[in-house]
Amino acid sequence: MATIGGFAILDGTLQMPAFGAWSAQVRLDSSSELPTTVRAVSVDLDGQTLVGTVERQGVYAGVLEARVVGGAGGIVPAGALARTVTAKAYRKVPVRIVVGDMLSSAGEVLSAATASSFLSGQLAAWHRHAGTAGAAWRRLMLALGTAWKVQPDGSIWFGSATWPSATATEELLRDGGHGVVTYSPDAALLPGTTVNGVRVGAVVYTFTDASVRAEAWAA
Amino acid sequence: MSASRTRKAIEAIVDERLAALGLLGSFPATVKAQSSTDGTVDVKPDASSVPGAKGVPLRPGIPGVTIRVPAGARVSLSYEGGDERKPVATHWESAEAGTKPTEITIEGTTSITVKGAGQEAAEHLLTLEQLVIILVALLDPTLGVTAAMSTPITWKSVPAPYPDPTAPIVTELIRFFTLGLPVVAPLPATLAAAIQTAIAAQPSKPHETPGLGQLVPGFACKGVKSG
Repeated sequence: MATIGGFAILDGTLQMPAFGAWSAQVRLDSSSELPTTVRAVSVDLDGQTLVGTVERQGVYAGVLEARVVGGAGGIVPAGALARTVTAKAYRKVPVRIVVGDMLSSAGEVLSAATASSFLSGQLAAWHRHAGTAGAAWRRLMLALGTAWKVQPDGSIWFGSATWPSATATEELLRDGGHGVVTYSPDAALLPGTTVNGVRVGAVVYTFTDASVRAEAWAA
Repeated sequence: MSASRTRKAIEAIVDERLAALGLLGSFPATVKAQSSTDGTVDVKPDASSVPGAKGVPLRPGIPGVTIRVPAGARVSLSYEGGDERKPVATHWESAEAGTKPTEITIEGTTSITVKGAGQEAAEHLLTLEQLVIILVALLDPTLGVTAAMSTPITWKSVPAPYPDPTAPIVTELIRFFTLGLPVVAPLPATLAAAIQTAIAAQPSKPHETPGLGQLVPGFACKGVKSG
């Protein structure tokens, strides 16, 4: 059974792109809001834990409705948690300095899985203009030529996509025209992997009181 | 989601995607300091959204030109190719009192031509020695030029009687072209004025030297033209 913050997901969706931040729009089995002092929540997805932050929540008809984003939500393009950064110039610095400052300003944490080869690269100069953290982060990723995503532990990873092999069981439906395969997963299905020879560009979980379905969209 | 939140979300995505366009512009800035070693400048942009930066390379716009400016000079900060990794300082504003360049150097491997309306070009010679040969002859008409124009001679090989090399006009003319030799007197305002001064100090008869052409007021001399 999928849960968020310890509460069962009654219904809703979890959208997970291969790169970038996942988000969930759900109704939870709770009649009160999650404590505002605790914004970070865990999404238990068939044994796979995803760490994110509650962006919005509210109780309606005795049911908690919430939107949760992966990580701290600081570098999402638009959202209640989106942060801004000030202008700052760097000169002759390793990438890790610029990335570290960027993520710190956005309230995010760098993933330990990020390859050191990316972090040790040198930048002769880097000018960060003031604006949203998401725009500044994207500019940095474009300049470095790297992809990024929110890891299951909520940290931010960036580097080259590797598309590791993964398995998915109990295929229910295959839509070749749209490149979508629907599963009744018995284990978490994550994007950025290769399933049955197909690169999974996104996974959309749909929760109902009767079932959990995972749509794997081909990249 | 309300219409305004939808609009905000779309705008944020568009802004994120199109952020690069904003970097194609130029940002007015003030020079805070200039490096004495590589000529790069430290700048403070007028807009608070643009970071102040150190060590920004200059792009004067003309190859072979180097510029030294005081703090307070106004310049535009740009990014080559809209790339935040490539800031450059270019497009200087008209200099106000106190912000004019302290030094402008123009270097050409063959020649540098400066031309004004109604005037012939004043052309710098390829070698200092060639000009010194001419000027020594101007200063002392009794001296003949025995070396061909294309053969450089050193200062020391010029025979006596020879103008005192420390004499103001000679020394200043050397300094004008070499920019570094000791100065013993104020430099005349222009090279033309210096040459005219030298001419005025000589006997009135015209002096003709093989290979040098004929000396006339406002003279034209092989390899040297003066407007």
